[in-house]
Amino acid sequence: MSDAVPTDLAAYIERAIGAIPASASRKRRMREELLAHLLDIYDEELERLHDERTAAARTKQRFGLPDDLRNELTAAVPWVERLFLLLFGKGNLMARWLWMYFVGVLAVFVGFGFILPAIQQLRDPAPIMPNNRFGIGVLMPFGVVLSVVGVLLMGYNLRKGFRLRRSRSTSRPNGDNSVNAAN
Amino acid sequence: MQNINGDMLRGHLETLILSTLDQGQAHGLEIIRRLHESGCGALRLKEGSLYPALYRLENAGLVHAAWEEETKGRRGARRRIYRLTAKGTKELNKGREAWRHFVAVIGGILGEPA
Repeated sequence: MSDAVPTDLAAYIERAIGAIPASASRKRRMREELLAHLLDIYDEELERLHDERTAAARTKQRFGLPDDLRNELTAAVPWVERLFLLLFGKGNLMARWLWMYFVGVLAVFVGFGFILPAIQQLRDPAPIMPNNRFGIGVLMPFGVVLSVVGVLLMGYNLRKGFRLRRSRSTSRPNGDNSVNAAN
Repeated sequence: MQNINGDMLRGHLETLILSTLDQGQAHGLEIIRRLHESGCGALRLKEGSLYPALYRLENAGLVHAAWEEETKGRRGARRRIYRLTAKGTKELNKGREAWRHFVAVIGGILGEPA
């Protein structure tokens, strides 16, 4: 077997597996197992056809279209793993910025959770919770800092997200983003 | 005889795989061979389609997979050997029962070919 054949078959598998939203270890497992199967088919076909190129073409034909396989393999990845990768995945910058935007929203909400009781204490000095050790001096600055950080996070990530979207739409006018790097 | 392709197999592929593993543990290519032999050559399945079904079965705990140690002739790429679990055997029996029921009901409606 020439070196070109396994490389060609590995590239074929990469087209199917590269863009799947799955963990690196799952993809590694899939790659190895699918390559082993393809090489087995290839050996069978080479024995039958006695021609490397025809055998490689027949191997791919027997295995199916990489795009169809990618869709089927994606559906076989547990949804928890897909969700996790959508939120925290290294490759998904858009999702990461969206996620950081929501962290900002959360920070604003928590910040207001400190500011509002502080305002309430300013209006009515009688403590709402008598055992509460934190007075206005702690609640107010902490709440304000948290809210400001939240607003900055929201603004920064919203801007980044829009920029990324714009750069994607200008670099890929046909919307072809189906095949990309492995990880 | 009319060929049975992937679309026609949809919904039955997983039970068919469980059934082939009932004959003993096997790797992907062996499962395909068993399916083709049992289907008398009428089954036309893209071999890649087997793996998503196997992964679903593995996630559901119906099959267990282990890496084969031997890699001879495959440039270091190992195969995974699948075997039926107890849960898988139960599911296979359920699948067979459901199929018998389906055939009885639909067969009763369609009748024998003229």
